[in-house]
Amino acid sequence: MSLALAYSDSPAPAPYAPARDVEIAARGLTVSYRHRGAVFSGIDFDIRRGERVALVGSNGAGKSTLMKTLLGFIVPTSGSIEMFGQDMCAMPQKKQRDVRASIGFVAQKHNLVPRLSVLSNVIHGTLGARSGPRGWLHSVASREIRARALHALDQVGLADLALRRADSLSGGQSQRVAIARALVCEPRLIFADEPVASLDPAAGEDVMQVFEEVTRGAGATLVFTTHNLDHATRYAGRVLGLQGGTLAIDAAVDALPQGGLIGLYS
Amino acid sequence: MASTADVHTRLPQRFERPSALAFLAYAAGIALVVWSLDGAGWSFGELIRGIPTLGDFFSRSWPPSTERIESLSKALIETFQMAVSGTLTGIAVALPLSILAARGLTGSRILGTASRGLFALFRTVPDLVWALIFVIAVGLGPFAGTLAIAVDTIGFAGRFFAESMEDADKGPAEALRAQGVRRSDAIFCSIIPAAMPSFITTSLFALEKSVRSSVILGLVGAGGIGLELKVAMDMFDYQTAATIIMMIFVLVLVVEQAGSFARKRVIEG
Repeated sequence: MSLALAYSDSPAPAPYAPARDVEIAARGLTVSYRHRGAVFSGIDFDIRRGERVALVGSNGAGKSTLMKTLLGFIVPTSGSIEMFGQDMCAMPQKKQRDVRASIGFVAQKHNLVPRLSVLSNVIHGTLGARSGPRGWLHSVASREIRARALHALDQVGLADLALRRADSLSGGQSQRVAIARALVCEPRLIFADEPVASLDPAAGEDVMQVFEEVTRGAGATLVFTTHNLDHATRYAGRVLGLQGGTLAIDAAVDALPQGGLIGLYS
Repeated sequence: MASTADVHTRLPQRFERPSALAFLAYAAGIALVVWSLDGAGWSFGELIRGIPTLGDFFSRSWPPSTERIESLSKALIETFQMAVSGTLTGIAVALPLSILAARGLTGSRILGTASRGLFALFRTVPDLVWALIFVIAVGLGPFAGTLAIAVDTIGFAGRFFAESMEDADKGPAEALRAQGVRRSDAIFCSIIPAAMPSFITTSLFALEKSVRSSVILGLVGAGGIGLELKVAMDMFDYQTAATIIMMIFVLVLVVEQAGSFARKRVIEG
């Protein structure tokens, strides 16, 4: 039985009404490529402030493409995206950059600069709000920025490693530094694209706990993609499931049927 | 399961039979080598006939003269200074141009093509020709040599700098761009640090190359010990020439060894 059918008995979703606490509003979002066809089409959802949302789906379902589209790196074929109440598709690049300065981003691979110190890597996260050479290296950064970066490292439990080179850290530590880099810009919203996919189960659990603590503490909204359905149901309050180019699931974790997410991978 | 004897019968051929096109390419390659040897006047007879003359040159060069060691040392230091200042000037110009030249970094196709074209021009015209041009422009002396070395370094280092930035991991820059970081900041705080070991090793190679070049540049009047070598050879003062050749050998050897040591340290991190 397809997931669409599995949910056919669910009550019809409430009509989308503009709400003041909506951080992301996607309407009729479609991304298609000339040779590949539609990655997804007609996707609608709202994500409210403080929500923790897991984006799930099989490989190639369009999770990362959806995230890049929300960030403005992929122009949708049709539809609209409102980020913090502003139309991402209509605004110029500079304005998009300003919007992104309120967003923290953590990728599957930690993407730290290997030869630089942990502190310098975290300070890079402040460059969205304040451009210039003083954000390139910790040795030239202002006292205030250094303190903010150290506080972010404190939040992920790695302040002691501030002066270590990034390439001397373990995978789990590196990913926690990447979280600190996302946190240092005091984001309203954090996107994490398969943040634990390259970590062993223990390190992955550790990183997800850090995510939960820091986003809850900062009151930030968290949107993460994952293949780990246990993480999706334990660390998110709501799940968006992509299948066959459509949003097959949009439900609170408590409202998911038994084994419902497994069907996304069939 | 197949028997060992069966496997022996199915062993693939050690060498594949070349296609007709490959065969023609091999033949053309061999013809090119033969044609070049013939055109270059390659002759074992001439080489053997030249050995006694070479022996005569060595006997007249020994013992090397230390009479002008002070002035020759000054010229050698000037050669080294030309190499260092020319290399540093070249690197300082090559770095910003290479950011423009690296594909996919700045997004400006026109500036990228222009920078790559400039590197190609600077690289393809030999440093001796640049030295002749700068001798005309700024007159005889070490400054002309410094400029020639700088131009040569721009062409050499610029290309390698750009390629190392193209090869650098773009992940950190993309993660930063997702947080609203400007492209220029992302380049300076993630791409350049990632490419830095390559920058340093390329710069050290450039310095070694410049030290060797700076010796030759003196032959066309662009300062340094090359000029002293030319005068000594022209005056048949082979003992002084031998001293100069040994001094050049020591300088190049020291710079190469120091460069090799520094490169090893950089690569080891």
